[in-house]
Amino acid sequence: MKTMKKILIAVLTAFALSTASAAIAQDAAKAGKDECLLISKGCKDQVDSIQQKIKRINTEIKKGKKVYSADDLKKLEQKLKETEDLLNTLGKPGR
Amino acid sequence: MKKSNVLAALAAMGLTVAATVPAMALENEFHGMFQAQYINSNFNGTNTTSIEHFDANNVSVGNNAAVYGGDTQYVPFGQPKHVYSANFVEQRARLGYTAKANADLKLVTAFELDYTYWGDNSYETHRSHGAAIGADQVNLETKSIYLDANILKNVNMRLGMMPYNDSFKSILFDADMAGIAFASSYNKFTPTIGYFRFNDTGVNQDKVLGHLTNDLFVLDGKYEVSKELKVGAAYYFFRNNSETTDPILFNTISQQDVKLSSFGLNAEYTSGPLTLNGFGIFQAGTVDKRSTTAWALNTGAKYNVGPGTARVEFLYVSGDNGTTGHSNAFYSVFNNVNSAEHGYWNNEMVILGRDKNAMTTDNSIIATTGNFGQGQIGGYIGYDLPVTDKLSTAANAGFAAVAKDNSIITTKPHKSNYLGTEINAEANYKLLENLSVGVRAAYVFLGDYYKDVALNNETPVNPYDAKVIFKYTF
Repeated sequence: MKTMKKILIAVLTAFALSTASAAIAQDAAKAGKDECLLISKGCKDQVDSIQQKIKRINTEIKKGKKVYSADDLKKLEQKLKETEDLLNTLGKPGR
Repeated sequence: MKKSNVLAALAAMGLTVAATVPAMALENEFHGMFQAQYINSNFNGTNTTSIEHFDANNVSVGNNAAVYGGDTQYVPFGQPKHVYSANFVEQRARLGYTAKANADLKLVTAFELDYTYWGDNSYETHRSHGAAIGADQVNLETKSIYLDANILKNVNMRLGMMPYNDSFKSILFDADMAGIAFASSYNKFTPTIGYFRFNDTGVNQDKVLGHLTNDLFVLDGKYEVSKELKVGAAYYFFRNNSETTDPILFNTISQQDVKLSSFGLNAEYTSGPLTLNGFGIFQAGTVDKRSTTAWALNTGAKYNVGPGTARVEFLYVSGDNGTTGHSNAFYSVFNNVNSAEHGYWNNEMVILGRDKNAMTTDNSIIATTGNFGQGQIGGYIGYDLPVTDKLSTAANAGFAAVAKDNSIITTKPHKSNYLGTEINAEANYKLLENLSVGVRAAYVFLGDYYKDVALNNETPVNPYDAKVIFKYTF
């Protein structure tokens, strides 16, 4: 019985911890932040074409300081430049 | 530890790992493009765009017309005046895969599969070929493989074979190159430092790697003075003592002797509908045992006028009319198989300058910035007109001359420095999301630089080029 109690406590602790993580993620989502773009989190179901990705980043940048911090916005702008550079590289002329 | 405690610990760890997996997942990103174009031309894919090649022992190894749809440069000299029109279809696919561990670390790769023209050959091992019946060609090209890591706060490192270009509209270098580059950002200042190895031919020359090389050192900085004004400065050092392409006679491979510094300034100013930009580059050092001072100047402007955008570009590049003594020939980067690893696409030319739609078949009247040591003077105007959400059009005109005539290809002086006037027009229609079909046609009124240079002292007919282009990017 004592052993069962230990297992139960350990499992509940782990569950509580994971729930707390989920709650943090939910808070970020509630704040309207796109964490996949920002910190490469929660991207597993997202497959964008390069044009969709550019559109998505632009949409997020437009949300501005109401949603994102100055650092976040800088990261998004960097990401936009990287993606536009990739698009240019894909279409680059020559051999 | 008791068995039950171990079980409890494992159960707890299992749940914790399960909860953290999404955060640690590798982000896999695939992108790519497909382009197929029909070309009708008396320029591309004909004998007038193929230079005879020589190996290290100065023995002719033929030309590249049948291999790469031309050899980058317009060379009608001694060729028949009339040229049969070429008709062919060229095809390209590029695939890019990025493995992103997190926001600060990723591996970037890019690959290319080309067919120079449908029907070229099959069942072989040859880059840019494989479109004859049966296919089964070994033709996968690796464009780039590099690590991109934010190793410190505000310091990004790129390491490996990467696409990299200068800060001067690509007139010095724009290519995939192996090296290391650090970029940083401090408020409005963005400095970059880099080192690249273009070639190492020690294994052919003295069986020792690392000192008969072709290298580039880069120092580059940009500063945002205000929202409207951005300025930049760069220093590039070229050092080449490898057995590679001659920067002037770029169809000849020989032991090089280059130690050249390039200093450049650039600026961009935006005000309402107007964008102004430009740069100046000064080069000093030694190129092929000749002391060299060379320079280039550029201005460009865009202005939103009416329903579209008007564009203007001007480029001057110094040249030299001799092949000995002090030189004013401008130096840019070449590879080891005779083509420019740089370009000036901002002029929107098809024949007079490098074509933005060119793939393996990539020929032009001015194919290199130095232009066989002759330099160039060019003025270009254009207008972009979007008609609907799906249809866009553009028209351009260009006027170009050599800065100095050195008669290096024809061995006799030309009648004029004027190369020609190009007019071109294009229309692009969005068939589906990400898929477009376009038409682009160009015609050049040749200048007197080409007067009487064809076979029997005749003047070559004016070149033209027409393309129908399907392009899908994802």
